[in-house]
Amino acid sequence: MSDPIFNTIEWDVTDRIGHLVITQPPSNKMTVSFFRDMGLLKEQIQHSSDLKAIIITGKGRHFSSGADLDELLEEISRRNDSDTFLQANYSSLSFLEMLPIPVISAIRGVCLGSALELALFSHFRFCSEEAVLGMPEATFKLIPGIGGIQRFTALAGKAKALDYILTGQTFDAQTALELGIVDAVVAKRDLITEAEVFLQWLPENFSQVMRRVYLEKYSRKVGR
Amino acid sequence: MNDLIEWRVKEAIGILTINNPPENYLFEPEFVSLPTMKTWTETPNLKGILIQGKGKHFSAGGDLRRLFEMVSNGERLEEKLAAGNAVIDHLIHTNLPLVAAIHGVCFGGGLEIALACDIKIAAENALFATPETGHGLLPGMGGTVRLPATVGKAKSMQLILTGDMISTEEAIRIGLIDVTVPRKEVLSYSFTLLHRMTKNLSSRIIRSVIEALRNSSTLPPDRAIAEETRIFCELAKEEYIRRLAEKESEK
Repeated sequence: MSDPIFNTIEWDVTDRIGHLVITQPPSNKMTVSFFRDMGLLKEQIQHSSDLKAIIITGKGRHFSSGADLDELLEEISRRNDSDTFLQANYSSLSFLEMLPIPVISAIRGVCLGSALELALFSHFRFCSEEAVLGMPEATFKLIPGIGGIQRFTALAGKAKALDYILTGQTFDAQTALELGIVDAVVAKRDLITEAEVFLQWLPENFSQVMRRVYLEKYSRKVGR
Repeated sequence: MNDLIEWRVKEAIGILTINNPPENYLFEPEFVSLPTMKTWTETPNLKGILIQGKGKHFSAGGDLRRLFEMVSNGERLEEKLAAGNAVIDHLIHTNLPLVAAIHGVCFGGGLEIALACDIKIAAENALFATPETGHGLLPGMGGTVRLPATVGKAKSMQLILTGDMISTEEAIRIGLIDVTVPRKEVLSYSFTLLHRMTKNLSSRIIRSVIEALRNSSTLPPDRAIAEETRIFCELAKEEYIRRLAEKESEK
């Protein structure tokens, strides 16, 4: 069941797996309301003890095209507490990384800017073959503002991070895999199923430290 | 002394050339005087800096004879090294992307200059080493700090203690360098990369990105994030005003 307190996301728990869907199609832009919803969801998740895993997707063709820039720029300029406002946005997503249960982003279509930052807060990222990813902030005279610089660099190395963040050039699924930005590339129709199977396969005593080990074991299991 | 390092600007990219062939020994730890370096890097609208060696090599590092001469002359070596570090520090804090274009030997102080760069590109035939311990010394211009930050403690320890020379192939395997290209293409590849990364951006945005990127490896995570937020807010406010002005002028 979708929870009526949210306007921009759906949250549904089936078999102890939480399904978070960004529901602002077609591009699933991340608005101020989205970050507020995520803040509410954060409270809810942190108080639910029987959750086993979380999967994040976008409704329709795309994961998300990232922040609604016009709205965000206006909000930051209007407020006296823009730092606090942005920190709140940050922690409305960053809590995912701290959760003791596995979080996976299943990425179809575009996943740009803040949306990629959201995905980078999850422990795993599977994407479909036609996915397009990128950090285009610099081309809008901004920088990635929700931890993306740190996480992109940690995964892809400084040289590649610098290149992709400065040019803002988008990249395809295969490149994302080579960069280490995503962990698996899957046919679009199988993406969500595969992400769910992977989550079910992960051990109950999941530990983030074992991220790479899980991925290697799993890819041997499925013969990839 | 300063003509041992050349500076020119091509399409908003500063090109710093170590010009003391054939080995391109660094005459002093302060391989360029800091005030000179500052005038160079203050070139308006500069978007990146490329560092290369003239002729066959990047640099064989410090001139040891000269170094021991300084000691015997009673010159204050500590101050000299601090001055060298200040130049490297200044380069890093320009917040411009630094690219090392390496061919031939890249030893000691030469490697320490390369290690300060964000992206290291090397010819297939380049050679790398920290030979200082063989001379009763240790890397003295950030090498013991930046080498482990780049290749990890275990590899650094091996390289520094043995002074062993490694090839480009090995250097790329351990993460010391980022890209390898044929000898003849090192400079053009490096320049093109810098140019391609920066040509559509203002110096302001470039410096913001690099600063945030550097913070992620030098500050504790919570402070790096607070800094990122601060920079983002500044840019967002500027961009908002720019967009408003654009809308106004369209009316």
